[in-house]
Amino acid sequence: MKAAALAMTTFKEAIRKKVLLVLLVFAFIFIGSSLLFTYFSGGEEIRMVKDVGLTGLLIFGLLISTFLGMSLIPAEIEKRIIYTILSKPVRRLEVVVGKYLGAALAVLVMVLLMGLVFMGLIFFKEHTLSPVAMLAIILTFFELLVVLAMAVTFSTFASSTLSVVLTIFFYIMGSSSDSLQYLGGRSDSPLLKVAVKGFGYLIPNFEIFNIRSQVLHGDAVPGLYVLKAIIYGLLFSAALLIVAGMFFHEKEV
Amino acid sequence: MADVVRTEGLTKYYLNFWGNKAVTLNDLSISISDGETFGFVGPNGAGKTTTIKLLLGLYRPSKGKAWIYDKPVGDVAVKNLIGYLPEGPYYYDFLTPEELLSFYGKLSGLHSAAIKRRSDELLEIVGLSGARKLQLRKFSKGMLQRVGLAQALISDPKLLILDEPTSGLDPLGRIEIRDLILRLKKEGKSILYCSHLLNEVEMVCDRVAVIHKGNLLRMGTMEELLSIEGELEMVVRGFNEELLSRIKEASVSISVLDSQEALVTVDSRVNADKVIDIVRGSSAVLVSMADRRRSLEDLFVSIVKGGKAS
Repeated sequence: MKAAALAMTTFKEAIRKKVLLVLLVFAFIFIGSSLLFTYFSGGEEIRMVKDVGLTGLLIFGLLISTFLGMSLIPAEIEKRIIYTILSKPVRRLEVVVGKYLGAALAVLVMVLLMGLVFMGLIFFKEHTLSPVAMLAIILTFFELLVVLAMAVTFSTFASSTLSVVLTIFFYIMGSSSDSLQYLGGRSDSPLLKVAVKGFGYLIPNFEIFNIRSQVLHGDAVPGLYVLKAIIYGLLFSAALLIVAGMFFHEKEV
Repeated sequence: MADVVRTEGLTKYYLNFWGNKAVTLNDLSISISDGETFGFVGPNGAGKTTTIKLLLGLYRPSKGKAWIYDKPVGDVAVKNLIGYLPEGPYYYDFLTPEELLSFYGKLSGLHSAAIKRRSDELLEIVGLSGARKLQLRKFSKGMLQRVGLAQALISDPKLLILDEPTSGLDPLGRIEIRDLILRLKKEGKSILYCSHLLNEVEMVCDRVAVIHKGNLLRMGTMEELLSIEGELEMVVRGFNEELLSRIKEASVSISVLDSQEALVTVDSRVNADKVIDIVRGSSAVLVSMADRRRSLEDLFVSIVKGGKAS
């Protein structure tokens, strides 16, 4: 109940942030712009819509998640609201989890709105809904949950700028995870092999959430794969939040 | 009486890059009894807020220990017994007082029915019943301070920690908050009252600690701190010139208050007896006699400028 109270207040505060609304408007424009490109690409129209739409959803989702995550706890400290919150019988982990859930709810609303525009465009072009595109939106949301958890974790010990840099860095590393593992596996150095393997466990593998090629080619995605990806995202987020809770527990505010 | 707050050698310092210490609180040992209003005074940066943060578990002590209701500070369970009003507080300004109290009530682990009942009660007490549906962004500083007091009281805590509760308020706002605090004191709440507004502290507190540059300089009851040892003040009514000249020999000073009354200051009980005898032998009347007191401000200035612990 305490985490729920924190989540609801955080959600209400998040959806009032003007910068988020601006990002959302830009996302709509970006996703909608795919309609312009279709005149130049002949039969590839629908692929263009899907490609640009998914890219827009991911890029603006990343911006929203990173922005929300990095400011979630530092803003409370800066505004000194954290004093009254922590003067109540609340554990610091509850604060981290509650605030994270509120931000996650805000990200969900943003993804749903962007997803609605995206699906609307597909429907406009194909006169049918693409279930794989819907799965891609769902997986993007769970991918963003991990990004949000990363940003929150970094913000508990690093400055805002450093949190953003670290989140972007680890997102890029995590998005190249499979390639890194492949290269590491081919290396002659046993030390590098171990390092790359360890790295693989520590950094979330964002490629798991990527079903872009299936969406573009209209291939089916097994339900079990989606379920596994969702569970992976949830577990990784939970692990990150525990780490964030530990850092926040040690932090003097 | 049981100790509500106890600190032993509480110290907070920071080490800079070169290993030099910056001490913000040094070896603080205080105790606050049940039902007591304890003033914690000092100039800005004296260590008052550091002490509060240590008591709330927001900071960790570098040395020493502190307990609230015999439990180590930072214990989550003990926080239900504490109500905290920070200095210059900020709250989610898109919430109404009702929503804000509901939020803090939930954080305190209260159920919806209890929150509703308590919110109604508190909004009435702090005089914000009429503004319960108004967003906090539309509130004045005084109203924010009152809603802050309401959130501090939501779980009906036994101990109130108030950090500069009246600073930044206009005189009327200050009186309102002071009256509220006096009411809470009457109800038996223990209060740690931190302020640099000394007249407020003098009016509200039973006992005071003076802190400066992290060091506790003086602690005692108002009586102990403010009365000037041995000196007494006597008000004599119906005096004449001859009487005053006789009293003058036994007194330190005489101030004529009006055509009827004069204030006589003496430096010992023996001289007080002499004045009493002189007054008895005349047509004048001794209206009052009390230990001579200085203001907390005078004491504070002398202690802080002197800078010596005692």
